[in-house]
Amino acid sequence: MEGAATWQIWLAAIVTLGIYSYLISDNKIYRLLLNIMIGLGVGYNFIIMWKQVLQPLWWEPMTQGFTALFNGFAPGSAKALWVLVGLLGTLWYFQFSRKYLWLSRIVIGMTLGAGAGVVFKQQLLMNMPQIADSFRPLVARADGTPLVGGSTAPLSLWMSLNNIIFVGTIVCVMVYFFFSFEHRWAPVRHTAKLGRWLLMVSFGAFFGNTVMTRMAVFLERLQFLLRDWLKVPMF
Amino acid sequence: MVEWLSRLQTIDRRWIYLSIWVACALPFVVNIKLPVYVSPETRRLYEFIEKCPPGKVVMVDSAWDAGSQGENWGQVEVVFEHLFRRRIPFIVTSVEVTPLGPQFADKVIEKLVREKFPDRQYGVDWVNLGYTKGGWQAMQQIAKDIRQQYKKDSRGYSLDDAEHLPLMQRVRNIEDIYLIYSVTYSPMEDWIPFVHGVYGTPIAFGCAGIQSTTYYRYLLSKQLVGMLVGVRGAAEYDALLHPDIRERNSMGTRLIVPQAFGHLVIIVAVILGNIGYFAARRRRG
Repeated sequence: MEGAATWQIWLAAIVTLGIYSYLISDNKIYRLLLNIMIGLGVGYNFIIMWKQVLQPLWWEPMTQGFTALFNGFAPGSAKALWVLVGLLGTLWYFQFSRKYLWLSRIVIGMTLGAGAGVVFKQQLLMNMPQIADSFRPLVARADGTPLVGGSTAPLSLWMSLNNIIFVGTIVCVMVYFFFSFEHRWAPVRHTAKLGRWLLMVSFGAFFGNTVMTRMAVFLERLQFLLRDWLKVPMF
Repeated sequence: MVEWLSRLQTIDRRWIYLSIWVACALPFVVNIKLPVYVSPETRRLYEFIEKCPPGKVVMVDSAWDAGSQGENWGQVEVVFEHLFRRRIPFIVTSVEVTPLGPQFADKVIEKLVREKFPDRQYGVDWVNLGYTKGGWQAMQQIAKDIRQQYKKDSRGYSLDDAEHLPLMQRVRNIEDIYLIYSVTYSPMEDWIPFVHGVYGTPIAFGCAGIQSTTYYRYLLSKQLVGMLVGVRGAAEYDALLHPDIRERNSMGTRLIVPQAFGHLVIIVAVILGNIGYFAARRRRG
């Protein structure tokens, strides 16, 4: 908090310590601060949403459109049609009315239709390169290409081993997720078991990274408390 | 002995919190340096930025706030420093995730300009377009025509204001952008299909460590050109920027040693907990 006034640093320190007081036990100060944070966040988001999104992208074009419209259909009158977008948007709020609930279904249907179309495109563009990348040569050159082909890179045992582990892991995990038949046959059973172990390894990596993230969040606050609040000389 | 060891399983968690607090505070006040080994995903991003041709612009989707500044601050700080150093102009925005993102980016830039690059100018070397909403629609709009998504920058200047924003006069659409670097706790994967997938624009992520496991697959398939993972990624990038360890002073470098000490306490706690578990099992027979 460089450049912050003393009272701001003290306020931030008190709030930080108040939130950390939860580590000792749940208490009223923690809950009070939590509610203040949520309220501040919602209020701030609302203002920013209006000033930086709705006002420049919807309100201003629409009002400009109406001004042109009232000046005898001057150029730009078509922008007044933005009012329809606003009307459509307000239909969401009919979810709060039992009598007019059906009106909200119009926009829900439109959103679902558009969403379904977009998800198709999204999944295709996101996952096709993934699927293509999973086809790897088990005996590979240093640049990852197979032995047959135009590459002149030398054979790489490291790259080959890497690819074998990669492809092997995909196969084992996919076999584990075959639930349409019982895993009785020994090769399938053992492959699925190995797939489960490999999944456990990935969950371990997830957990390790979780610890890393939580630690980083804490360290930033610790640095603030020591350096900015307590003014401890630091390296 | 077995009974005493079995008690290790029931250490009050508050002692563990205190141990972590002390272990993490120690490297802040005592000068301890540890070597940093640069991972391939960090090096790839660094080298990609090094190759930026003249006239191109980098877009930084800085969508993080106080909740993840421990990791994300360092990740934008080192990349901004690199861009300033190479004099590569950049555009800051925050798409969808948090409206506070551009403000936090401003803080990082102000610090860099004050301490290292006093001659860099707003509007010429960087522009902050502020927050925008719309997820994948916003991304596609930015790609097609940036002026359809942003009318003004975060300071209220029109994007067509050549006097205050000369940089924006040569940025029209995705063809003018060399790289999109999305930094947040969990970067939006929509950048990959809707921008990289459609226009081929290179994408890089700076993410919280917890999220990195889900993004490594995009590095393998070359859908991401690089990635900074947590504090580690920021510290590694700082090491590439400053080979001399005495010159490093970014957030990532400052936090990486305390983080190592904190991890050490957790590893010891896990080992002690396991000893306690096996001792308790043995005592029960």
